[in-house]
Formats: sequence, C-alpha cells, structure tokens
Amino acid sequence: MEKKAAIEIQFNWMFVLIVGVIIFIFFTRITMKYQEVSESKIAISVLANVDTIATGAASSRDTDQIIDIPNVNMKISSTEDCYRTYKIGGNNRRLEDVFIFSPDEIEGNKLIFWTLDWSIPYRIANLVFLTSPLVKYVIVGDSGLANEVNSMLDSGLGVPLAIEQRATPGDISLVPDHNHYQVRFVFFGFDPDGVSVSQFEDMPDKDVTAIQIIPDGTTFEETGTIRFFEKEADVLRPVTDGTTYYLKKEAMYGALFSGNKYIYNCNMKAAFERLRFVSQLYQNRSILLNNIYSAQSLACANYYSQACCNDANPRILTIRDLAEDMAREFPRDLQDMNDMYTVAYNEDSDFSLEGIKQLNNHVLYYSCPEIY
Amino acid sequence: MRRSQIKMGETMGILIIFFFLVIFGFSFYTNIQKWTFEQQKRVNLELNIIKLYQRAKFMSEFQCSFKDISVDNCYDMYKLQAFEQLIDKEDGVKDYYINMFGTSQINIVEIYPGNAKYYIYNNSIGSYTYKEVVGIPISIYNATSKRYALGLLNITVYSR
Repeated sequence: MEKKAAIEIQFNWMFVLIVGVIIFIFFTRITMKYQEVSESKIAISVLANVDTIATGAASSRDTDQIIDIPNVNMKISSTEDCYRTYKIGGNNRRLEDVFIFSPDEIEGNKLIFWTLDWSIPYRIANLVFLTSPLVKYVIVGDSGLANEVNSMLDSGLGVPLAIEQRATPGDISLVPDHNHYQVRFVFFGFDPDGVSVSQFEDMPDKDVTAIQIIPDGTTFEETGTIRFFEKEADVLRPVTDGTTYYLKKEAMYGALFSGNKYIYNCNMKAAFERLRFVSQLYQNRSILLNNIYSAQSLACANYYSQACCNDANPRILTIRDLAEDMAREFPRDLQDMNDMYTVAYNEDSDFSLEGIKQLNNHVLYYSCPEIY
Repeated sequence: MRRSQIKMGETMGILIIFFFLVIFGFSFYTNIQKWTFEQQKRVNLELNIIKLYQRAKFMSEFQCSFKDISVDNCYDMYKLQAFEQLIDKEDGVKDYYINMFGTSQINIVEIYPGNAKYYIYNNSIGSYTYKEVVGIPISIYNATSKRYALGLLNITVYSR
C-alpha cells in the first residue's frame, strides 16, 4: 500500500513538471511571437509613414521638414543593378518613383527631408534629400561654390543639419568628434586622396566617407565631376569606379547626401528615365502647338518647330535621346552632361543654336503658349 | 472507482477545460487580428488613393506652369493630350507609370463648358475585393485660347 502511494506521489510530481514545462514553453513562445509581431508592426508603420512623407515631400518643391519617428535603424540600399530599397529589421519596401538621396543608414528618432526641383529646363521631378541630424557634414574648401553650399546647408535650411566648413584639408584635424554615427567630407578644389581623418579612426570605414566636387567652368558650374572616397585605416582613399557626374546643382546636392556611389548613380539613372518620358511628352506637345500655329502662319510656329522638329538640332529629341542613354547606363562621361546642358540653356546669338529656355523666352515675348 | 483514479480524472478534466479556454481565447484573438488586418487593408487603400492624388496633382506631366511656376489644381489641356499619345504609343511608358499608379484608373472629365474626356491611365483589375473612388474638382487650361474649363479628376483604386 505504501509502495503504491509512493509511486502515485512520484507520478503526480512528474505529471505536474511535464505539464508545467509545456505550459511555460507555450506562453514563452506566445510572448516571443508577440514581441516579434510588435516590432514588425512598428517597422511596417514607420516604412509606410516614410513612404507617405517621401511622396508628399516629392510633391512640393524647395521644402524642408524634420519628422519624428520611433528610434529605429533604417537601411537604404541600391544594388549594382539598381534595385533600390529601404529596410527596417526584416521589413523592406522598394523605392519606385521617388528619387531619395540619403546615407545608407539612418539612425535616431528624427528624419530630415529636403527637396529641390530638378529642371532641364522643364520641370522633371523633385529630388528628395533624406538624412539624420546624427550625420556630420564637413565642407572642405573656400571657393565660391564651397561657400554657397555651406551657407545653403547651414542657414538656408530650416532644419538642424550638423555642418561645418574648413578652408583646407589641413584643418580637418580641428574637426571635433562628437560621436556622429557617420561623417561625410565634401571637398571643393582639393583632392581628398590620402587626407588624414585620424580622429575618426575608430569608426567603421564605411561610415567616414568623402566626395570631391569638380565643377565644369564652361557650364557655370552647373555640370561637373564627382569622385567618391572612403576611409581606409586613418586616411581617405578613392572608391573603385567611384567617379560620376552631375547635371545641375540639385544633382550635386544629391551626391553630397548619398551614402555611396550606388545610391547616387541609381537615383540619377531613375531620374534620367523620367526625363526621357517628360521630354517625349513635351515633344508631343510642341508638335501639337506647331501644327496649330503653322496652320495659322503665326510667328510662334517657328519656335515650336525649332524645339521639336528642326532636323539639324531637334532640341527636345536630343535631350530625350541622351536621357535614354543615361537611363540605360550611368555614369557615362561629362560631355553628355555638358551637351544636355547646352541644348537646354544655350544663349547663343545664332537662332539655330539657341537652347530650349531661350526659345521659350521668345514664345513668351509673342504671348504664345510656353513650350514648357 | 479508486480515489486516485477520481483525482486523476479531475486533473485531466481541469487540463481539458484549461486548454479548451486557451484554444478558444487564441482563436478569438486570431479572429480579432484578422478583422483588424482587413480594416488596415482598407486604411491602406485610402492612404494609397491620397498618395495617387498627390502624385497626379503635382506631376509636371499634367500641371499648368507659367514662367516655371506650377499652378495647383490646374491641368494643361495640351499636356493631357500629349500624355494620352505618350502612354498609348511609346514603348515602356505604361510599365513606368504602373510602378507609380499601380492598379488604378485615372481620368479627367471636362464638365463645363465642354465635355472632353482624357484617359490618363488605366490598369483596372477584373476581380477586386475593394474599390475606392475619388473625384476632385480641377481646372483645365487651354494654352492657345487662354481659357479655363471646369473639370473633375477621377481616381479609382482597386485592391484584391
């Protein structure tokens, strides 16, 4: 009888232990799953909000705003074949029609959005610059363009961007390390190759980067070359195939905010794709206007015809074709940028060489519908 | 029946009731989640329609502009006509705008004085679960006659 009772007590304890463990595992799993779902929910909601804000920002030109978000780590990436995404945890979204130039990683609970209108000479789209107050920007150089960029980012923006200017690369040693998670140097008139950034030696190489901006004098600095650099040990070194180009200063700002060459080049490729379609639209519109005004033998017909249908210099078609080439392969060379700029803005006194902007001024003079 | 057997039966009964309650609670929670998910889908669709409106409203492809200054809620008639030609005839254009407008339908109807209709974009789907329609009053500008017409921008968004 005693033996039986002892077995029963032992069995009860075993039973309670097994059932207890099962119940414990069950609730632990539920809690873990719930935590996972909550994190995923926050990530999805932040991604959706960023998407909506980016679309809104891209709809209004020349605006800046600072947005509060939950403290998450957002990664923005562009692959070599230009698959552009932004990602929080395991959730990601594809960037389709918005051109967002940003560091490859955004940390902290604030996002800075700034947009600039990109027109050549007609409006194509708004370029969106996205960054964090925890990224430091250092302008190196004191040329006119360097001062212009510094004053634009320092006082021209209504948002607190961590920015400072140093006249020469030698002054970089005076830049204090304030624990920003990324540092971007922007060189004007100096080659960053071999420049020491020893105070940031402990930071990961990919988080201390630089670009060199070499503006082209023939286009009033509206086109130019950009070279990407990254820290190696304690000096800056050029990135492999890191040379690219800009068309208009708005694109130059795009390079300044892009964390790496892929983010810049892929956004520009997408922007040129859009330029191609918008150009074709203006081509169709100019043909429609040309037909209407030619039928009435009005003076403006000549300007529409120059814009769309001049065999020797079909301005809009030239821009469209160059844009198509660059949407396929970017970067190509600086000459393509200069050619496009010339077709758009040339102020030549020879009528047959005038750019689209000049032709548009002529039709305005005659009170005809604008070309764009 | 022995006492130990009765005790065992009680324990089993309690456990069965306990797990029944857990399963019932879990299925209740799952159903609530399902319902919330459907609601969220609906909210997303509404957000999507706002996004499409924002895009269509500010796209340089349609907007009126005078001396480089764009005018809100104004659509250039010749741009609309040029866009119709573009999306119909040019290779790759429709694919490009599918990324932008998704499964939706966008058209502009002139209400006064004429009754012209501009088919901007059509990627409607046959079998859909939700459909949201929004109509926004706009002006349509004729650049040659320099006259404005009253129109309606119709956006329909579909979701499976």
